[in-house]
Amino acid sequence: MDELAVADILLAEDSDADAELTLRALRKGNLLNKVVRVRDGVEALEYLFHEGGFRERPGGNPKLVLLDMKMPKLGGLDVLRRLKSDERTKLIPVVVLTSSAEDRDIIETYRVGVNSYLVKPVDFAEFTQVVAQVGLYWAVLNRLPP
Amino acid sequence: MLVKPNAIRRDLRRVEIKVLAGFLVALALLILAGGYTYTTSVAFANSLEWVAHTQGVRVSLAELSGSIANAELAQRDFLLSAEAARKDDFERLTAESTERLDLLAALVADNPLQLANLAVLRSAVARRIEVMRGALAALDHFGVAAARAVVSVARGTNGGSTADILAQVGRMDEVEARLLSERQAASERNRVITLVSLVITLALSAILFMALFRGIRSEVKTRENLEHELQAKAKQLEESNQELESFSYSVSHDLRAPLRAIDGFTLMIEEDYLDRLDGEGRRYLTVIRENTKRMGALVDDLLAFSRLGRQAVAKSAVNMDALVREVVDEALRDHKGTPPLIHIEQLPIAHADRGLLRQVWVNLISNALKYCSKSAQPTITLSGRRSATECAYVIKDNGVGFNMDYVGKLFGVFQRLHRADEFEGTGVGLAIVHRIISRHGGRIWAEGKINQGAVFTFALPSGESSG
Repeated sequence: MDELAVADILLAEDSDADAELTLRALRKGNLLNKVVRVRDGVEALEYLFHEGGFRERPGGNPKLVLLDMKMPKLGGLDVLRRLKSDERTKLIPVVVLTSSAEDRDIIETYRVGVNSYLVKPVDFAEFTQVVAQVGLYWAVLNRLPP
Repeated sequence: MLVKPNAIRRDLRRVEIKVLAGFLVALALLILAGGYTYTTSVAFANSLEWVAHTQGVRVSLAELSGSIANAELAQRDFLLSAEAARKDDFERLTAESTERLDLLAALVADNPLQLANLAVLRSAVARRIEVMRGALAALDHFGVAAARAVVSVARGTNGGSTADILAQVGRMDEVEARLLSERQAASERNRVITLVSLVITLALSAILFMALFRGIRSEVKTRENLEHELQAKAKQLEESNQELESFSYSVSHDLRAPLRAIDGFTLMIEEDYLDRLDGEGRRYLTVIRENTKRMGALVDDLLAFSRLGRQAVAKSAVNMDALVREVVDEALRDHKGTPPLIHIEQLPIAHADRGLLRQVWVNLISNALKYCSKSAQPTITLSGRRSATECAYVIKDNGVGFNMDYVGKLFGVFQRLHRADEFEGTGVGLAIVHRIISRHGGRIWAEGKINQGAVFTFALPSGESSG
């Protein structure tokens, strides 16, 4: 992965195991073009707003943000709020990928403006399918506003 | 420790009874004391009347003596002066005396002694008047000397003298005087009794109402304390509910993540390194993945079960026929193995939460399908009946059944009557069913025999829409 290239997909995930599984699932769906992975909410915002370690990265937004809910420093919900309230990042599709199927999380993320909410299945085969479909739909098939 | 609602209801009932009893006792005492005071005051009024009556008799007696004396005076004046006016006076006064005697007779009608005395008096007066008339007649016919003779003869004979009359009046007056003092004493006694009973009644009612007031106030205090206690408990409950919620949130989030990693990486070994493993190694991987899945199912089911406790029950009329067909169709879509025969009879409409009832049918029907999957011809019958108070629904299968000795364990969480290698499952399904039915105020029971099928029946209270 070239960290300085504009990512097609930004993956915000603190767990290495989950990140590796997600990357493998994306690769299986032939979607490994340009994925950048960050480890917490602060890094995700730094990437999106060209701050901190990502000051030098080329301009442009990713086609899709895959966001974990429970992350250290800044959680997925706070990242989502910042994204959806800023003109520059408001239009980026965000899919929440999380272990939690709690109603209050689902309601709150939709209220803030998430594009999709997915519960990661325990079964890896299912997980692969879900991630591949999401990646395909949002990063390849979906037409973004110009 | 929780305050039991039944205990509180009992407490409040007890307080109500106490207050009511207090009021009844107070009322009874007041009526008794008031009644007594009323009768004593009536007696007091009566005795006052008697005093007045006696005084009236005495006044009448005095007036009678006055009339008699004046009649005698008028007669003498006439004898001396022969003035016609004095004769008229005499006639008027004798008539007056007779009237006074009649009045006295009416006044002492209640007293036999005085009646006897009055009879004596009446004859004395009559005699005296007769004598005086005799003298007047003698004067008329024979002159003054004859009249004087009549007077002196009369003085010599017994009776006929004014002194006798006055003595008799005196006797009667004495009797009345004695009666008066007796009656005055009685009236005084009645006055004191009335006063005392009035004071006692007032004091008693004051004490009773003070006691009642204190009792009610202390009960109100007790109620307030209970309410505070309840509020505190409710707050505690809410807090522990919140804790439970964040606990199950952590469970759902944190317990599933490592499971996913175990499953994912095991699959990665299977996919990338299968050629380097022998049969035993591959079997180990399969066992790992099976158990991971099982653990995932357990976590999910446990969460579903714990969420049920918090979920509100929104009741409406539920068309059970449609709901059951929907669930059966869905279950048959995923069904593997011998196609089962499913008979659905007409089911009564239920008054319940549709979403929760759907879960009940899903669990019961998938259970039935699961446990009769090994029968030659799996058969399931769904039926219903309605009584005055509840609607019952029956799910009957011809599967492996169960031993009635363990029926008590059937609806417990993680309780299973079959090994996982016989029939898969986490042992939460029937616990969820039981919880949903209980939350609807219904009941569920099961009958079974090994290898002869099982019958599950659940009954829901018939609500307003079931009529």
